[in-house]
Amino acid sequence: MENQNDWQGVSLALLKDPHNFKLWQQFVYTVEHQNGTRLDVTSSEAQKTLLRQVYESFLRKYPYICKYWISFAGWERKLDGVDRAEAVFQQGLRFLSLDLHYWVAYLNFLVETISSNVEEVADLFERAREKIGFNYYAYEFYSLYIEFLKTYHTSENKFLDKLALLFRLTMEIPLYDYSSLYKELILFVQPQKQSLSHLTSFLGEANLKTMRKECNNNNNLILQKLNKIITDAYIVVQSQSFEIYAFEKEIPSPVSYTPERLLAATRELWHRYLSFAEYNFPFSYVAQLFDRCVYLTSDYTEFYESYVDYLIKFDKLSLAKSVLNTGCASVSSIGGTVLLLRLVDLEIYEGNVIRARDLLASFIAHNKSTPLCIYDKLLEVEALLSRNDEQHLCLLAKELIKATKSTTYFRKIAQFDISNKTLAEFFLLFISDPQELKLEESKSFWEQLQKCADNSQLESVTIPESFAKLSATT
Amino acid sequence: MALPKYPLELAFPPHRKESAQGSNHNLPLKPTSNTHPWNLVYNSAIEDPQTLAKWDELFAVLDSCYGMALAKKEPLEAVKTAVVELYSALLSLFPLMAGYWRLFAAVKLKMFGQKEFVDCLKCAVTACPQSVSLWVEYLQALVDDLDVQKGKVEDSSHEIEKTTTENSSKNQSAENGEPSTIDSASSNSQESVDPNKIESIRLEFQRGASVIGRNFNSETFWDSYIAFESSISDLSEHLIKVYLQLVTLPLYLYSHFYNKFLDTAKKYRIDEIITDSELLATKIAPFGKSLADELSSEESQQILDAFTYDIFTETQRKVNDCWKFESELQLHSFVPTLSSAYDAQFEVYLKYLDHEMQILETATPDEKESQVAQILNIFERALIPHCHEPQLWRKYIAFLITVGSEFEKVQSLYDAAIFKFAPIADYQLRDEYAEFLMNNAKFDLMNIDMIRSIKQYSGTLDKSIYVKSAYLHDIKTLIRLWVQHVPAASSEPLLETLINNYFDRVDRYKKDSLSKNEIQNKEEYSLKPEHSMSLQKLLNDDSISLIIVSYLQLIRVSDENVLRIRKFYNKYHQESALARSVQFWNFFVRFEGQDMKNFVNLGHIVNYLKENTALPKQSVDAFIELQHAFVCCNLTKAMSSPESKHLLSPLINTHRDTSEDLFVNSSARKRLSKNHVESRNNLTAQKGSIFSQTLKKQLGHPGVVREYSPEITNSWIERDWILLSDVDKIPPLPTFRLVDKANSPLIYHD
Repeated sequence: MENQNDWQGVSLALLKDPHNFKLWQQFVYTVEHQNGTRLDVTSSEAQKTLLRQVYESFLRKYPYICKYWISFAGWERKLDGVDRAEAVFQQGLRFLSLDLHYWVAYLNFLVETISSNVEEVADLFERAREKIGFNYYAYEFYSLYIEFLKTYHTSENKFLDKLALLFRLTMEIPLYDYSSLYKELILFVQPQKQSLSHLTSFLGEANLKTMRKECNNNNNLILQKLNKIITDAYIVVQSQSFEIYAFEKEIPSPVSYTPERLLAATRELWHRYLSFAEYNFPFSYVAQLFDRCVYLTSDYTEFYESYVDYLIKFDKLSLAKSVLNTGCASVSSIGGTVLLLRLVDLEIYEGNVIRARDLLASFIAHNKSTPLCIYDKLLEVEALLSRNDEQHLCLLAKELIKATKSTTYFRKIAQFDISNKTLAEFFLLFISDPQELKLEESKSFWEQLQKCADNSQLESVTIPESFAKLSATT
Repeated sequence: MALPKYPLELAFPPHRKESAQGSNHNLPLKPTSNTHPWNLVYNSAIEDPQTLAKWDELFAVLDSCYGMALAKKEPLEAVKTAVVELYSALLSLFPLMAGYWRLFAAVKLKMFGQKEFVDCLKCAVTACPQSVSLWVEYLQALVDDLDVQKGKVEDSSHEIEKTTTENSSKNQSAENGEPSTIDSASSNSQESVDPNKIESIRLEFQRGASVIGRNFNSETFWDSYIAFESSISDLSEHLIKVYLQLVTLPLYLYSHFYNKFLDTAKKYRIDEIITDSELLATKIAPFGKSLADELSSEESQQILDAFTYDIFTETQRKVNDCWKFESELQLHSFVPTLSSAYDAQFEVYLKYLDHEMQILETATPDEKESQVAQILNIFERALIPHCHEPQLWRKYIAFLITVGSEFEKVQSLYDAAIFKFAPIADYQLRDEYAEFLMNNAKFDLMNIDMIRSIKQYSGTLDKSIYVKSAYLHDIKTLIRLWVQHVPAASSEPLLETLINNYFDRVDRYKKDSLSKNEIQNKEEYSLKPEHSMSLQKLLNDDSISLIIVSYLQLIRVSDENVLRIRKFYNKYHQESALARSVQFWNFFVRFEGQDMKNFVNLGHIVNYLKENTALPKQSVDAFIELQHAFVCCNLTKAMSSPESKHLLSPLINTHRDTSEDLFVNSSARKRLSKNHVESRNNLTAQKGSIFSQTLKKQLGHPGVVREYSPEITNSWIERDWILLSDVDKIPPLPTFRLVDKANSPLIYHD
């Protein structure tokens, strides 16, 4: 390109080629460097507005790239202050609540700009822990959390109790930096001023009491016992971390996003990783891993489907529904319809038939072309809603055949519970008016016709020779 | 050894006496029992029977062993039996290898004497009738035999015999200067030899002439035939008959024979040569005479010349006509290995046959018979090097049927093709044969031969190989023909008895009273009980499901039988033979889902099959998806049922039950662990647990199987989420498992 730094040139090029990721990146870069210099507080209002508009349109197009959200928030902080920056972070959270990197950036930002909102920040830390607490690389988050709790504890907010519980909980999570965490844990466990009261929230009051009893209130003995437990836990976490590392090291980081398709090897790796986790870890751990997986591989139905299977196994139907909803929205290709069909099935299973029909109807309304499987499903749902009204079904099938020019409905319609008489009339209708269908080539048409019609009806019909035998042999 | 491709390979290697001593055929024989030096070579030869060099080596070893034993004056029995056995083994596999038949005969002559030699050759011309050289050798042996006997009878004078043989050899060289002396000599000998013997040899010659006389390269045979006849008398009616037949045939040396014929014909009267009196009369008429005796010698010479010249030009035309094909046919003997030269020649044969068949179409009625014989001969010849080409057999059979050949002839041809030469994979040929028999209303024969063919592939014969696909195909065809041709009233109980007997195994050999309820119909046949008995003995787990499905389809026709079908399911669905039968389950899934629309039953069936059978995953998945489709199309019915949640479960579980992931796909896990080799062998252990444990061990680092992974047994992660503000939910202290073994070394399984 002639003018790599020319914003207008790039935006014109982008008009011609709107799906070029490289151009989009340049688009953002050029607006950050208008007139050859990087924007700063002194830049004009127009320049700032342009910057915002460019970022917003970029993030509309690629909402799952955390780098750009963070950098957008950075610009806002630099140009217009903390409030706008936080608004951007909040906005991005809608898409990136499963992204560890994003959370760490956001929380770091909050800690840096903290004022009277300590409790709110603490709540946000908890929200983050729920989303990404089992992430293999979550040590960065935990160390920030620990630092935050240590720094802002007061006698009222009981942050030290929370810290103790946090240590207790993280003790069982396999992490990349598990040993750093354990270093801090061991320091924490050491008695402070000859007292073990700081361990109340670590062990639980009742546990501490029984331990004290067993050890005759001997702090040293209690500590010995505790150290043994911590060492054992360390061995377990170490072994697990090592095993997980074999999988994690192969997974590309979400920070280096490219719009290219995943490598087959990476997908295979995810499958192996997930089934390893299914066998070795409890539900909530695996569910979070699934969340992370569908977030990182958002364009593949196979992971959504495995996730839904996993949730159904544990009877979490409403969770499964929400996963399917997300899947329908984020899978762009034809695979999205597969997820939609599963969602419809699930709604029918739960008895929400009207909702099921609405889902199908809105799909048909919003898409230029509809795959046959969606129409099939619609026919099934209509059969249920109309309490198997034969006339209604035949009419609908006729409409569908007219719209799709597909002969598969001849087989489909025969699977419904429709009397032979109505069915025969339906088939004979097409002989008088074939609707541009190539009936001579449709095996299913003649097969079904001969099955449901009686001889008097077939008299006036000439059956193609190649299909005439079907009735004789069956 | 590769998988058998041709029927004759099925029972190869044939049962050997020496190996019969070992009680268990699966184990290698003890080294001590293999003392004979040829056994080692034999083993390598049967490994790869197509490689003839190994057989040659084997026979050389045997020959030298025989020589050694003879020199050392050791007992010869072992070598002799081995020779007969091994030659028979090879020739049973490749009966068309004329060269080895001759070697075999030669060895027999050397070891067993003249009589065995002749018998062996006789077998050879029966097994491999299109070999000219075998015929020549066989007939020569007969003639020699006669001479020896002659010598015995005429023990008074050796000299006469000598002269006779000398003279006969002179005769063969077709140079006779003194006819009178030979006449007297041969007539002398003729008196002393049993005329019946001569007549029987003559019959063999005639048989040979009818089998290979039309072979384009059969000159050696004809030479020896002429020699034989002229040794008896060189002015006999037989001799001229032979010549008259010979000169009309298109042979490679046709002119050579023609010249000899001319020499011989001079000695005969004209009415001995032209036996057709009408023809003779038309030939004589131009000379103004009515009887052959009235002709002068010049006149009869003139007639003879004209007559023979006509024959000559006709034969010459025929030879020239077929020469463009015959010149390309170079490979006349059978070899067990494939080669492109043979493929090319096969094409030539096909063209040749098409050409000759065209000639037949335009032939006059007089010529038709000889042209048909000519075509048959080409077919027979082609079937030596190309005996494994089903196309050729089919063409031959089709030709025989069009020329209206008799039933036995066609049948014997089918027989040879199906049971000896055509590839096993050519099922169509057997179907055609069954069709042919039914067209000729030979229901019983069809049964016998189909059962024979089923038996051949069933692997139940001693040491033979089980050819599953061919076996199942034949059973299918047979059952189809039964259902088609036996009235339903008797075919139904028939199949039922087969099924009951198979599973109960009680009154298998009890004669059932089938014949009582037979209804005789003109177009339908009744099945003889012995046929169903013999089929019963050949059934196995693969084929019984075929029979079951045909039975079910038979009774499915009537709606009254719904209860019967369901009872049948309840009675038999747990049989292990059916656990592998896709057809059986397909029938029931469609029956309940598509026809009956009974989703409670369908659910039971699919639940059973997805957890308990040994079907391939693909079929189980297909059945689960079918169930899903059936339920989806009949949601109204399913929803209105009191068990709707249960009936609707395919809506959410279909993908789970077809998933590759065994953690979510619990039905597949159960199915696989039921069929897992370890849980099968180890009945005491908890079924399934071994399988799951093995699976879990394999999931981590590929190739590294960790026997012991340390774990926390009461992890808080397994329970509800704990917020940091939930001070009252502090989890109890962790407890551990296998921590002490965390550092145990990995165990590598070989």
